[in-house]
Amino acid sequence: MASLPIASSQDSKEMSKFAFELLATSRRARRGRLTTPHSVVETPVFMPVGTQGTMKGILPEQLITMDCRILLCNTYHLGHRPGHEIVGEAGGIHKMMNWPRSILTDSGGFQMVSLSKLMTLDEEGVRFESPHTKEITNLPPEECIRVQQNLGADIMMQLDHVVHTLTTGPIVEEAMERSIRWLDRCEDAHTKDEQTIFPIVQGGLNMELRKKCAEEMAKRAKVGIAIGGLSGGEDKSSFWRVVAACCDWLPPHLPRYVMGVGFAVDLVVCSLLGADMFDCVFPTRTARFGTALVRRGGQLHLKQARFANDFSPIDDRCECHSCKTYTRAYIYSNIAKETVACHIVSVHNLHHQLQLMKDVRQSIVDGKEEAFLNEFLNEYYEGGSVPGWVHDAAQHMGYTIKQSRGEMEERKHKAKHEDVVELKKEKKEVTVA
Amino acid sequence: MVHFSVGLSTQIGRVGSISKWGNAQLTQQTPSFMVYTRSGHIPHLTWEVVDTQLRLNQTPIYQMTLPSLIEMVGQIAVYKGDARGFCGMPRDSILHLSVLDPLTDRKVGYNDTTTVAIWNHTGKRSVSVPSLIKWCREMEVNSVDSLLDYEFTPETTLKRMNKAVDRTNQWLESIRCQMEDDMGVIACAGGGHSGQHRRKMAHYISSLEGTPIHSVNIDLGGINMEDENTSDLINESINPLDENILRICQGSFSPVEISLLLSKGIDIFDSSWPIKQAEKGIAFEVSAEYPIDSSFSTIDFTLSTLKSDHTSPFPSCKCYTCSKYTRAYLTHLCNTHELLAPLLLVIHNLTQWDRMFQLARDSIHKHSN
Ligand SMILES: [Zn+2]
Ligand SMILES: [Zn+2]
Repeated sequence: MASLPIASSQDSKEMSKFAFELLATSRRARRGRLTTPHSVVETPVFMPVGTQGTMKGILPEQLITMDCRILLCNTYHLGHRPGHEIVGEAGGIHKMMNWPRSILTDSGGFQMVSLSKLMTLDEEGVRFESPHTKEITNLPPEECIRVQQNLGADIMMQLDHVVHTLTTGPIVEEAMERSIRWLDRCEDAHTKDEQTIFPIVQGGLNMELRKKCAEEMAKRAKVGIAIGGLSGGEDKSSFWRVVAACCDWLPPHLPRYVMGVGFAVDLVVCSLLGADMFDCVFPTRTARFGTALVRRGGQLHLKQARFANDFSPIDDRCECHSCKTYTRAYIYSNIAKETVACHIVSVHNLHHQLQLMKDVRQSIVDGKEEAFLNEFLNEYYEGGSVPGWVHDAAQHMGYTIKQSRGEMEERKHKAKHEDVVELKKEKKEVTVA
Repeated sequence: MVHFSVGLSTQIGRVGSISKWGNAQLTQQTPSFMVYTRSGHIPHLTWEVVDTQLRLNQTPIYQMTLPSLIEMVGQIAVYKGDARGFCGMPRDSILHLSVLDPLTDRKVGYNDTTTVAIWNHTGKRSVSVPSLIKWCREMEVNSVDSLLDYEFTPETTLKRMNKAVDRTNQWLESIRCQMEDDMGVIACAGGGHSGQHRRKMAHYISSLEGTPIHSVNIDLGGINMEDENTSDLINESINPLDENILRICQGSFSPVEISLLLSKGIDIFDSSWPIKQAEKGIAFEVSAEYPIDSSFSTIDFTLSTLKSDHTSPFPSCKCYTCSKYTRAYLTHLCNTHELLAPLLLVIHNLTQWDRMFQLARDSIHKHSN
């Protein structure tokens, strides 16, 4: 790797407030500890998403009971309502939402592309029409950081030039190059020591571009780095290969955040590939429709009539408050009628994700990831065949999977990232200067 | 059965104390309120949140609303346990089963000789005496309302109103005969806007032979609280009753209306009004001089007037919501229709409702000296 830039005094002040320590590694997998000004985060970690500065009816105290250490909030949404100035006046997002632990904010770029009808982009920045006010807003990288500094999250994301995952041609390289220039502008605008910026590795599914981008971004990264442009409808084979390659190229001292990943099998495979941080809206969004996440079989759709007289908990091995208190039958009777049913499932789903990551971390410490992976897959696919991409990824890492190889590509865990779905639905043109 | 004794009676209201509720021991000072529930929950609060963040002054009686439970009674019957277990409630919860939901409109024209019509998301459901008794046993509630024919509108004929009185009285008699002795059967005194029918129902209750009636649900359905003769109508229901009978008034009443009902000597209400306000995005606070000064202030968080107000919703309130969050944040939650908005407002409004009854009890004691 090229020589690292010499840290300025401001950088060192910022970096003294953050730390990342590798506690154990096993093959590619890493068990780490990220320290931010607000909390210690055990990695690999799943970050629940509280889009509007609240976790779908779950109190911060309940998240602490589950030992959740870090949340993600969406800059695009908070920028609109209540507005970043108001959050700033409130003393920042932590104080406003009564969350004492770490927060990560995204750049808002992804939602601009997916939620705004009109969006244009040039070297200067992104311009978009607000779906709420119809106003045209300019968002150059400097403004993106100003907004995120007002929000006050521990980790900010750089503004990047988002192109759809499946895009090919020269635009992918242009977008990647531009994202590097924009990172520099973000860092120039960054003034607060108690916040850090994660660069985002782009480059679509082109490995050459990914490699170049990983090197350039790693040079500039201070605390951690993100792998972006995935979970956008690419095939699973490309997905894991990009994650694997980026993890190979990135230096070990940076925690690696794979954006938008939240399905259990993806979390397990990516963790073993050497990724450290993940986020997804899925566990809380799906709770509203009565879908509970479980180790055995992946999901339970509690609206189905077969649960009407099922008096067992969602998961009899789960230690969450919901599983100790409520039956499937009770949830079945109340889903879509009473908000408490949604709260009950959300508590379980978040606990499920956090517990899964806890088990992943333990398996890395014990050096027993192979056994864990097999046990996990056996339950998740209920003894049936395991998708080919999981087999390929495992083989790449040198693990043996005992279950047979299935030809189906993710039979029931198709991407449900709502933003992505919306992105495809709208099929809008993004003009690029 | 319900053990109740009246302490002081004043112009403002009367204080009393409950020592037994159905088959459960309970110490509760009145005036007080039953905690309104839907589907076995305080709306928007899981029992985890109630346990960790809601602090009430007295052990509550939970008002279980039959319309929200009727679709679940079949499951509870199969389930190895009672309604508490099925709904995730604390094991020792004291439950009262209300046949009608105070937040659901009544539609007249559907009650017949053996059943009362109630309404929920599936439409109309009919409740008969045998089914009510069966459900009480399966749910293991501590008390229940007797059935009331609430067919009283200005258009209802005299003949139909007389019939409503006869049916209600018959149903009470039959529930009293068939129900276990330790179940708290709350007699219903209705009659709507008709003074003579209100008086008839109350007289019947006071004239009953056998185990004396210990508590009466004074039904105010169909009465406009702002009408001049409301006070007289309530008197028609109360005057025939023995003073030591516990007087319950279920319904969605504002603090101003509660203060009027307190002065009539009502002992127990419910908490449907604060829940309804929370669901509309409204928080309220009563005056420290309640009920002498029954005025109350409200904040409507659906308006954007307080969007940059970073102070506590009500700085003197000690509830979880007021100690941890700001007016600006609650405005944001209401504007974005987030589930946390009604949750936080329910916690505040219930805390405030509880404080209101504490103030009422204190005030009655103070003014008797
Ligand atoms: Zn659980
Ligand atoms: Zn309060």
